Amino acid sequence: MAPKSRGTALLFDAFTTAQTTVESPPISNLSPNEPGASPAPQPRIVVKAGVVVSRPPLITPDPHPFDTAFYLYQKRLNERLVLPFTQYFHYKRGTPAFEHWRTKRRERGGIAARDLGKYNAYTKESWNDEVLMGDESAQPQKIVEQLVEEEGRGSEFVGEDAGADPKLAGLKRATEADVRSDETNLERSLGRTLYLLVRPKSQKEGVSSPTSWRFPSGDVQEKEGLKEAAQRVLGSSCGVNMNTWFVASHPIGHCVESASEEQESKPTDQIQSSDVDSEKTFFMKARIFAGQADVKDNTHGLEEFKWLSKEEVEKHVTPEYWTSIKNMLVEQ
Amino acid sequence: MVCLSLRSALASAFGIANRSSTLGVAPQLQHIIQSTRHHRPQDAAAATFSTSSSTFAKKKALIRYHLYHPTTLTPRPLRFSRNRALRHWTIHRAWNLYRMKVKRRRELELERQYNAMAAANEELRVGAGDGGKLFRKAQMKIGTWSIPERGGGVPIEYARGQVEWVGTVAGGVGGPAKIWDHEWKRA
Repeated sequence: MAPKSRGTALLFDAFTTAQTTVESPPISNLSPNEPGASPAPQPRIVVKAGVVVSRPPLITPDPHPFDTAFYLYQKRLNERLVLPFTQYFHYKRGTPAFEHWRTKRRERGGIAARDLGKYNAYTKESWNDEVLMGDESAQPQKIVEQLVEEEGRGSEFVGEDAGADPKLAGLKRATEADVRSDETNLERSLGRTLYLLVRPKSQKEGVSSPTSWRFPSGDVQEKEGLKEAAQRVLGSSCGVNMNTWFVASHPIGHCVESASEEQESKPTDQIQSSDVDSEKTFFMKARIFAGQADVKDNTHGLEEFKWLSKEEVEKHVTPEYWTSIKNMLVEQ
Repeated sequence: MVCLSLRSALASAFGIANRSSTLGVAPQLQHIIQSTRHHRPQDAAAATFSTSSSTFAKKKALIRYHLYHPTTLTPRPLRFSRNRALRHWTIHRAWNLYRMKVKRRRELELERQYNAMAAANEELRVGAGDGGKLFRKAQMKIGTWSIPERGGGVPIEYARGQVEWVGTVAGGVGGPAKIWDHEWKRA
């Protein structure tokens, strides 16, 4: 009986002391809005949602010269090893298709493959399968040119375009937008991932701010997740006529900016910079499939937009901004 | 009886072993049965498990005939001189080194992307000043494995494959090729 009574007495003692000795509640219970309640002022943070809209590459990456050279080397080695091409299995003797095939095969020097260059693995010279320096038979463009020439219909696929090459049947890897270097066009740099960057209007009239490019971003409103905020910000800043897809609901990168360095570049009607200590932007990843950005009726004070690859992004943004965003962008 | 006879006729026409006789077979199917019997000398009950028809056997024979090559062409040994073998070894080593560098570069890029994502999520969890509310909302995976019709999943437009070349003329309809649909409007 004695230990139990002692325990209740101890509890009671603790309760009474807690009741009597408390002068002020713990700091964590206080609301930060009450003036003078907390000893140190809490840092005021503005959370913003940024959108990294990217256009995925549409064509394969440009092959490294070593790639093309090595593939030709391996193809010729394979030609030395495999069984001969069974032409009577694929072409019936005496048909027009067979005659066409045989004529073209003779023109190629008696070899079945079209991507080997001048090399026959069934002659005395078959040991000589290595190409010399400056040989162009491995180039993809040369192979396509040979195929088009054999078919003989290259000029039918050029159309009205003056820049299209009939030798390649109008096939190309660089478009007109590449030639004009039109950075708002999405048909530019087809082999690269392009990112949507916007530039806010400069505060002072007549002063251009060439390094204030950034990803579209805006405040997160009440009861809104980052993804919903990013979708809303993208619609209100760059227009709704983009077929986009948000890859995840969590951010892929972030950028912390203190308010003092923000005061020059930010419009004053959005945030009172004086009572904000830092501004944290969380970037959401989105892909674009169709459509185009349009900053005509935006509510974020944006002036223009550009679609840029990673190196071009580095040239457009400030060094501090680049440090915080460079790791989430892809090379190709 | 009619159904049974038709069934047996079809079975023997397609070379399936059948117990019933061909007594009740319709007269128009008799010649089919006779022709298939001709190509299959064994008794139906003692036939092998193979159900391939004689035309397929002919095709197989044709393929075998064309795959046959005289012994002057087979086998084709790859003989290298000493210097050529050394050059091959060098090329092989260079290729392995090059592929390893490419792979390493891709791995490092993925690592950088992962670290940027992890840092952003940690900052959102502890540094957003809202007790991690936005973080918890961002970590919800609702609809990730759903289908686009229900507002989740991966859209079919993401399945656009990369090509080596783009054309100048649009296929079928003519006119200039549309590489990117700039005129897309949200309905």
